[in-house]
Amino acid sequence: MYHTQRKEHVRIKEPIKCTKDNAWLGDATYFWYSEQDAVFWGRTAKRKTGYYEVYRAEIDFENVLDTVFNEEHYLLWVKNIEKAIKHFVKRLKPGKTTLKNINDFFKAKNVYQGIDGVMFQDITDNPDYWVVDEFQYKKRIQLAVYDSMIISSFEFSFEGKCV
Amino acid sequence: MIDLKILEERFDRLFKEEDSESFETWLIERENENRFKMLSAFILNGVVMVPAHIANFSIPIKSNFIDSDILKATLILSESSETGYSQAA
Repeated sequence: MYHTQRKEHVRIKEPIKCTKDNAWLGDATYFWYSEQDAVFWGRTAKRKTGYYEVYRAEIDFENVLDTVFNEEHYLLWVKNIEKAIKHFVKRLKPGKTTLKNINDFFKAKNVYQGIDGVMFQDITDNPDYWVVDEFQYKKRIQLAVYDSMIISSFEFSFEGKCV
Repeated sequence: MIDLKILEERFDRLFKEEDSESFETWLIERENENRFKMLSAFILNGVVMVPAHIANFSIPIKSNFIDSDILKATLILSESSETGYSQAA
C-alpha cells in the first residue's frame, strides 16, 4: 500500500494520521491501493512545497473491514451506512454531517472495536481513469488505518513533482 | 479475522439505542472540542486575533500570519463570543 505526503526537508519515518474534515473514513492513517492513485494524489493535492513523496508499507489485513473485495464485508457495510443515513442524517439539516462524521461516530460508540481499518473505494477525478466517457473501469481504493500496529516495513519509495 | 456477527450486533444496538438527537449532540460536542483545540493552539503560538467588534480594539496583524487558519480562528472567536472565549483571548 502507498502513503503520499508532500516533500519536506526531512523524510518521515512513519505515516501521518489525517484528521482533516475531508478524511472520508474519519481520523485515520490513509493508504492508496495503487501507485497510480498515490502519484495522482501527490501531484494534485500535496503541492505546498512543489514536490511530493510516496512511501510504501506492508499492512496486516487480518482485522480490516474490506468493503472492496470482500462481498460479505461490503454488504454489511453498505447496509449499515444506509441505516446510519436513515437514522441520523436524514433527520438533520442538509449538509449537517459527512461520511467522516458517521464513521467517527461509529468509532466513538465502539462499533469498530477490534477493527483495525476500513478499505473502501470511491470515484476518482483522475482523467487517466476516464479514457472512455462514463466508463469508470478502475476502482480508486483507499485504506483507512485506525490501529497503526498493522503497519510495517514503512519506507520511502520515490518522489515527484507536483502539477 | 473480523466477526461479522458481532459487528452486526453492534450496529443494531447503535441504531436501536441512539436517535438523531444523540448523534446531533455528539456532533455539537465534537465541534466545540475542535474549536477549543484550535483556540488553544492559536494562543500558544503567541498570536492573538480578536475581531474588533468583539474586543473593542484592534491588533496589528503580521502579514505572514494571515492564512486560512488565522481566518478560521477569527471566525471561531466571533462565533464563540457568548462562551467567554473572546474575553480569554
